[in-house]
Amino acid sequence: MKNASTRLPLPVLVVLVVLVVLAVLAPACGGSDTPATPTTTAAGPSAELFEGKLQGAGASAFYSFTVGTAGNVSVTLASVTTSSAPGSSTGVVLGIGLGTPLATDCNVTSQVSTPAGLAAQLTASNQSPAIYCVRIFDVGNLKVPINFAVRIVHT
Amino acid sequence: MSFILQFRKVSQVFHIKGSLLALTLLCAACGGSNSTTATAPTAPVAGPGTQTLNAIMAPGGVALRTFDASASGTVTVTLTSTSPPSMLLGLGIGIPATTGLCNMTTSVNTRAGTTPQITAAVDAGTFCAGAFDPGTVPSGGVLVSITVVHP
Repeated sequence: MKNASTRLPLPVLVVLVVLVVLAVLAPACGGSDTPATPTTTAAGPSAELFEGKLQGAGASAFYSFTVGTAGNVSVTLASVTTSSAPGSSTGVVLGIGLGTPLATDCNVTSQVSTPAGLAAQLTASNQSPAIYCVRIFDVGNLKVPINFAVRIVHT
Repeated sequence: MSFILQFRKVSQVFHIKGSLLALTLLCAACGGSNSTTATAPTAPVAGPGTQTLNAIMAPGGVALRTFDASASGTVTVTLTSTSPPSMLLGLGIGIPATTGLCNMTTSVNTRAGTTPQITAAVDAGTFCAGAFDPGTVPSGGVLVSITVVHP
């Protein structure tokens, strides 16, 4: 009885070896397809724009917003104009306040009187997640209707 | 018989060479991410900058540009030139309005010059600046050039 029947021919052996090597190497291919570990993007502060009009003496308005995570809240009275025309900005001093909604009003806990500017005039640090409100109001200077824009930056 | 043996040898050689070729190709195809240079997405560059605006402003119109201040600091706005020259124009700075225009914080009527006509302290954020017609722009419009330097 010949044992040639149990011995593989050399070409077949080579092919088998190659297939084994391919099987080993194949999983190592396609490195770029390996999903990268997800990275967490830190949520930055968000800005909201509170625009409106105060009709005159004694007028006020407020705007509510939600602080999602504890952090700072800054309020900037950025624009006060007497009309929609771009050249009508005025230096009139108004009150802006930060507080929490109370019934149909805004219960202000901190406030400042200021003209419009581009750096925050009112900042509250380490505010807990909750609903807050910003109030803008006449402090006795309004003689005519004005348009205003307030920027609120919060976490 | 000799022919068959010769054929087997040739066949083996081709098998071996073919196998080596397959291995070579496979290895060359491996490690895709290493064999090519990845192009990282270009993120907006944060930091101080200078923005310029060149525009033809119509009578009664505005020419505005928004910009991002990356940190608190000082912004300067300069009406650098107009054509026709020496025109009196409005120049202002503020924050973008929901209307797409600019809620102006401050504005001046000025002529072109090299010294900033507006200097303002700002926090980090998005702002807008530009020129507007205070009633002086002729029917043909005016070419304005504005430079904004911000933190």
